[in-house]
Amino acid sequence: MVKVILIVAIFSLVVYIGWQLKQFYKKQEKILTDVVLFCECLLSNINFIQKPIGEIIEENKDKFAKEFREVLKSFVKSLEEDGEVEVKSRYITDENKRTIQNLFINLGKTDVLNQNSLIENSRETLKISETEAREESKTKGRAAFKLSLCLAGLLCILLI
Amino acid sequence: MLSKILPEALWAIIRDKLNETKLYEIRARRDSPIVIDYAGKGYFLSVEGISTNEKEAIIADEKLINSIVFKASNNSVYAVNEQLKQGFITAYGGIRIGICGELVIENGQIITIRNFSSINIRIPHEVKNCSLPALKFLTSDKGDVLNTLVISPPGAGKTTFLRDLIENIGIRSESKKHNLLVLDERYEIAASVQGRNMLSVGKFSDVISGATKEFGFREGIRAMRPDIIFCDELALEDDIKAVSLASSSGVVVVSTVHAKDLTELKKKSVFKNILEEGVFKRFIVLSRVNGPGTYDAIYDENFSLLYLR
Repeated sequence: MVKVILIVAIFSLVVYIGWQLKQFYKKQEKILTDVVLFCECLLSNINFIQKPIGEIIEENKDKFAKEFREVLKSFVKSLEEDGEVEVKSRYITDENKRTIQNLFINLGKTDVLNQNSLIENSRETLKISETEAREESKTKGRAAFKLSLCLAGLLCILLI
Repeated sequence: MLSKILPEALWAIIRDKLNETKLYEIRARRDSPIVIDYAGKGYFLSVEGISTNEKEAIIADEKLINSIVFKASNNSVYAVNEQLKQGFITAYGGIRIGICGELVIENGQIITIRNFSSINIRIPHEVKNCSLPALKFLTSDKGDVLNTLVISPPGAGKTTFLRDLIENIGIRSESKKHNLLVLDERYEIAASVQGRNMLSVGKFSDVISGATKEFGFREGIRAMRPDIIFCDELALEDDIKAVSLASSSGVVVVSTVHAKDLTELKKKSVFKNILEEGVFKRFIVLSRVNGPGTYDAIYDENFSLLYLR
C-alpha cells in the first residue's frame, strides 16, 4: 500500500514539475504578447484620439492576463504617487524588464510624434523577444512536459 | 483641484497652512523661490505656509516643474500638446497653467515646448452673481441683451465676470429660449476637459473650445444658430472682423478686451473702426478695487457714462 502511494506521489510530483516548466514558458510568451498588444493599443489611442494614458489602461486592462495587469497596476500607482515604476516578473529577462520600464518611464511625457517612436521601438524590441518566447514555449515547454512524463513513467517502472 | 496637479509635499503645505480660496496664483521658476498670490498680495511659499523672507522660500526645481506639467496633462502631455504649443494647459477644475520653456520649431511651425523653465498656476475663483447688478445696463428696453465689451486690465476678473454674466443671461433667457454660444479659445471660460465643463457657464450654453475666434464665429453661427455669442479677449484684427460679421448677422456679441479703461481702448488701432461703427452698445470697465470682478464704470455706444462706482 505504502509503495503504491509512494509511486503515485513521485509520478505526480515529476509530472507537476514538468507542467510547471511548460507553464513558465507559456506565461513568458503571454506577458510579452500582452506588452506588444498594449503597445498596439497605445499607438491607436494616442495617434488617433489622443486619449489620456489612464483611460487607455482602464479601458483595455481586461484584455491582459494577470501577470501584465500587475505591471500596469504598478505603473498606475507610480503615476499617482510620483514614484518610479518597477517591473516585477519572474517570467521575463532583465533586458525585457528594462525595455518595459523605459517605456513606462517616458510614457505620456512628450508629444505624439515622440510617443509614437518610443512605443514603436519598444514594440519592435519586445516583438523579437515574443517570437523567441513562442518558439521556446513550443519546443522547450513541450519537451519539458514530455520529458517529465517519461521520467515519471521510468521512475514508476523502477520502483515497481 | 490643486491636489490633482501638485506633488503631495507641496499640496500638503497649501492644504494645511493656507486657505485655498484666497490663493490665486502659484509661480514656480526653475531654481528660484516659489511665489504665490495670496489674497491679492505676493508672498514666498514656505514650509510654514507664506513668508516674506526669501530664505525661507521653497525652491522650485526641474523635477517639480516637470511633475506639475505632467500631472496637469493627466499624465499625457501628447493629449494637451495643442494647448502646450500656445503656452498653457487647462487642468481639472479649470486651473490654468501658463508654461515657459524651449519652443521646438520645425518648418516654421511650433511642434511643442520642452525643457520647461517656469510655470504660472492660475486658480479660478467663481464670484457668484458678480455680474448681476450690471445686467440691467446691458439690456435694451425690451429686455434684449446688447453687444457688450468688458474692458479690464489683467487680473481684474474679466473672465470671472464674463462667466457669471453667461450664467445669469442664461437663467434670465430660459423662458425666451435664447441660444447662448461660448467660444472658449483658450479654455479659460468653461475650462472644458474632455468635453466636460470644469467651470459653470450655466445650463443653457453651448461651448466650442480651442477654436480660433474666426473659426468659432463662422462655424458656430452655422452649426448652433446662436442668439448671443460670448468670447474672451479680442486682440487681433481677425477677431474684430469676426465680431463685425456676427453682429451684422444679427447675433449679439459679448466679449472682453485687455485695457485699463475706455481711453486706453480707444488708442488700440485694431478697435478704431469697430468703435466708430458703434457695434458695441455697452462698455463695462472692471478693476480689482474690491476684488476681481468689481466694475468701475459702464458706458453706452456714444461713450456716455451710465454708471460710475
